[in-house]
Amino acid sequence: MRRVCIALACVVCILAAPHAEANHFYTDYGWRDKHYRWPAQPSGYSQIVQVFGKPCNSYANDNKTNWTAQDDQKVYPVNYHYKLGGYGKFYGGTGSKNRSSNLNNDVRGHIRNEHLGGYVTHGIYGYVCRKISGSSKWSTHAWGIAVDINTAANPFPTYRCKSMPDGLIRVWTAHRWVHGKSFGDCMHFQYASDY
Amino acid sequence: MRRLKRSAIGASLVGVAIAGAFALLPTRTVHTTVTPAAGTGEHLLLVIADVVTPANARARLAEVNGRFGDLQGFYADGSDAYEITGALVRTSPDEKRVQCSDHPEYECPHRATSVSVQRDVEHRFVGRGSFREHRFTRDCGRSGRPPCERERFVQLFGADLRMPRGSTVIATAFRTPKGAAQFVAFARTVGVRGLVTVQVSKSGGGEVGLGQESHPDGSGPLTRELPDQAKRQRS
Repeated sequence: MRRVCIALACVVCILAAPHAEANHFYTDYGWRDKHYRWPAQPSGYSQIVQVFGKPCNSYANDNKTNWTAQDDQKVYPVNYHYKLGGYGKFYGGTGSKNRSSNLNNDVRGHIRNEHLGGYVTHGIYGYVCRKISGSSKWSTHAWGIAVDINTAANPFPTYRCKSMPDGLIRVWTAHRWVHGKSFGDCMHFQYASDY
Repeated sequence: MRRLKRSAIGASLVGVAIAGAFALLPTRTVHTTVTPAAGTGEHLLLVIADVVTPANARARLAEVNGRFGDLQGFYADGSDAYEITGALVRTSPDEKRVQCSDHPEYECPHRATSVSVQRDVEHRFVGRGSFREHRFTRDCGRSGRPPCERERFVQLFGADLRMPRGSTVIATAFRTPKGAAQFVAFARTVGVRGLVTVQVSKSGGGEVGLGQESHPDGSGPLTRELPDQAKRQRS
């Protein structure tokens, strides 16, 4: 009987092992939400240039975080502005404590800590030196201050976001990112308003 | 009746007089000079999605651009404005497969043992005269190998890389190899594949999206021709 109980306990442990991670919070691995050195959120084109420089400048893709899409199992490089990240060691941080903690540490760390990473699906990108379709206006992607996720599930334009739980959106907006749902761009998060 | 007739004649005369007065006024000169499209006279790098008949251009453009969301994708322009001078052939694989156990930083999905890491796009210039004899990578398209391109180049332009006349190219233009490579990588992310990149000399035509790449000095967008631009594209 004792041997049966031990064997049963071993089986339970083996079955539970893959799910152990899911029961842990990211804080258990040393992560902390820092809210450190966030730049001011600009409003409109002039302020965007004032805070982040000209579109497609060298700072616009200075940071990089690799993001794994949960559906197609591909790792997408997301380049973004120097002023929006690089702090610490998480998610592509430079190891520096003098850089912003916003995207790589705070946003991504929160997503993991709240077990929301499974909702991030393919078509993930940040910096792209490109204008808005059919327009002479630069996209916020050209400054490296925009990130699109779940793009395949949310083709533009759409006002009814799919596979984009409110909790995931709240993590972004709590860190000064504006969600593009109001202008039919459910996949889109940008660090600027009125643009 | 007579009164009516006199009124009509009078009104006509007044009308003629007014028209005549306007004819004597100095007219505004309307300048009809057409500004040449950006890139005319330059060597450019064209990332091409397709070459189609003018009748099919609009539909094909809409189909390809549908994947870019609110970002500008490709443009449609007459092929007669372009002369191919070389090709930028891919030398890097699209992705590299890595084991999850070796790379915990990638946070593999549940039960996945490996993931594919998207790689930077790298090109090598092949002149038009050398293209027919150029040896493409063996086992192209396999894991760890560059994507297969030769067939696509030949399908669109023939083995001698000649731009079809009277057609429409679905393309977007760049001045630097880095600009072209970054766009190809982005297009790959949103699911647009089968792109080829050629070097062309542009003799006219319309808008093909120049200016949407970084200046090599990092100051902002590249809006003008660079010194030795054609040479830089070949290096």
